[in-house]
Amino acid sequence: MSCRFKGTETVRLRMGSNTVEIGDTITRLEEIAEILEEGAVDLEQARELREEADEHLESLRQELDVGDGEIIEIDGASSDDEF
Amino acid sequence: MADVGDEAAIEPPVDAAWSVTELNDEINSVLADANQRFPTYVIGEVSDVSVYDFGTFFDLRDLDGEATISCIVWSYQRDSADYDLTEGVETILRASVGFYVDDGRTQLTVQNFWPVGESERSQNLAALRETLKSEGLFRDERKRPVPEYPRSVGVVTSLSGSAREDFCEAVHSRDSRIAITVCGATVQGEAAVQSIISGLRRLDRDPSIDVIVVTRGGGADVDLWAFNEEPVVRAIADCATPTVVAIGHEDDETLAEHVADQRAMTPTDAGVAVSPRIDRARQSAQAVERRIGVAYADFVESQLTEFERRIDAGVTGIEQATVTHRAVRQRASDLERRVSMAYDGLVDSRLTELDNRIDDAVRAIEHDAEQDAVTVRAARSRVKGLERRIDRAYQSRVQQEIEELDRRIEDAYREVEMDETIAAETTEARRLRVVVLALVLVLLGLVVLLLLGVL
Repeated sequence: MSCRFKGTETVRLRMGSNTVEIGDTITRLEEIAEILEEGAVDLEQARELREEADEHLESLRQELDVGDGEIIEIDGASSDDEF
Repeated sequence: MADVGDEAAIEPPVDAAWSVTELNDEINSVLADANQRFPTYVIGEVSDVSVYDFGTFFDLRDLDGEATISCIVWSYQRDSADYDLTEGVETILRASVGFYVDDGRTQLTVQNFWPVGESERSQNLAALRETLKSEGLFRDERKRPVPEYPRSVGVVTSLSGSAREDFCEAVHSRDSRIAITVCGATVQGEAAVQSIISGLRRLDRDPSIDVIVVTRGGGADVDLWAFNEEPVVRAIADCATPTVVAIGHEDDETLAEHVADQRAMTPTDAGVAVSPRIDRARQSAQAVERRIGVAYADFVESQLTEFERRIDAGVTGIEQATVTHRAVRQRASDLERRVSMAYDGLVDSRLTELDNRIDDAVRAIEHDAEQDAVTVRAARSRVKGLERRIDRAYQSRVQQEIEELDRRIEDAYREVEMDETIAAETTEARRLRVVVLALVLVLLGLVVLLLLGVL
């Protein structure tokens, strides 16, 4: 975890534009798990669901394995914003 | 105390320095000596009331300024008072000044109190609350959900207070991925309003910020008052980014918290509110990955088992059909053999029977033939016997007849010789001869017929 002081400069931490919605992804994966557990699909559909799940899991792992987030401190005392 | 001023570079007089205890004891002594100089009654606005069984702590705040002093009223005096201590109410206290040597703290010990009425500050706060409420800024419908898994959090707080550390620690202990932009602000005093609003606007302009937190640690009501100021409250309400506000402790309440999308009790709670338990998300991901793996493996296994079962059933069916076919063929072969054998047997039997019957018939015919031969022979013998008998009978008869005829002829002759009867006897003799001849012919015919019947 790094800590930087940037004075009055606004620092924006850019994230990947294709960030994964973790909650939605887990929900979809749980849906897939339920479908497979119920077994109300044929073998081809099961294979497609497994492939979709593998894609979600890979992107989810990438999202969850992101390194530690930075702490960026901005000294607002010298701000010239008016209100 | 003596003014040390620029004497820092001089060797300090260790022997002349007082201990804290000595200092506090001296302060206590001075205050005790000057007790008569303190007023009996003090007026101010009650705030930060904390009620306990043994007594009630509260602050008395200057009506026109920020000055405050801690107060305590013991329970036996509190319970016997005619009024309740109410925050925001201008109150007159009858109290004495006390000094606590252990922690060097000054406090008013209250003997009685009389409320005067709501302070102007309280009245203004109530009016602002009503205004904001009438504008719908407190309605639940306008509150937006805080992102469940934010990647970037902005926080407006003091850079020097423990609130920042508490918040960051709470966030990163739950989700170390989250980037935190701390916008330092003055959170109490005259400069607080502008500083807080500036920080809010700065963070709200940043598109990477998923949620903005405004927080500070606990303090007296006067310290938290900036978060009741209308510009701060409206700035929070106007944020395009979802907001979480946590001011002071659980018992503290400000208007800023009411207009925020979510309220948290403390800076730590605010950190908890904006950060998911990413380890739980990882656990959920691992769990669902295991579920999917197991479910898929079970599903494929069940499908393969079903296919295998169907194949086995098909093979078994084919094998059974083959066995059945073989059995049928075997049975057909057996039947064919049995039929053939039966046919052959039947034919043999029938032939044997026919042979036997033929043999029997032949034997019967032969027997019959023999019998017939015997019969023929017997018939022939009988015919011969009959012939002989007939011949003898004929001979005998003829002889008899002849003898008779001879006798009769002799008689006739004798009769002819008699008169008139000789002719008649002659005729009679002639007729008898014809009869005899006819009888002979008849006998011969009978013999012929008998012979024909025997054959």
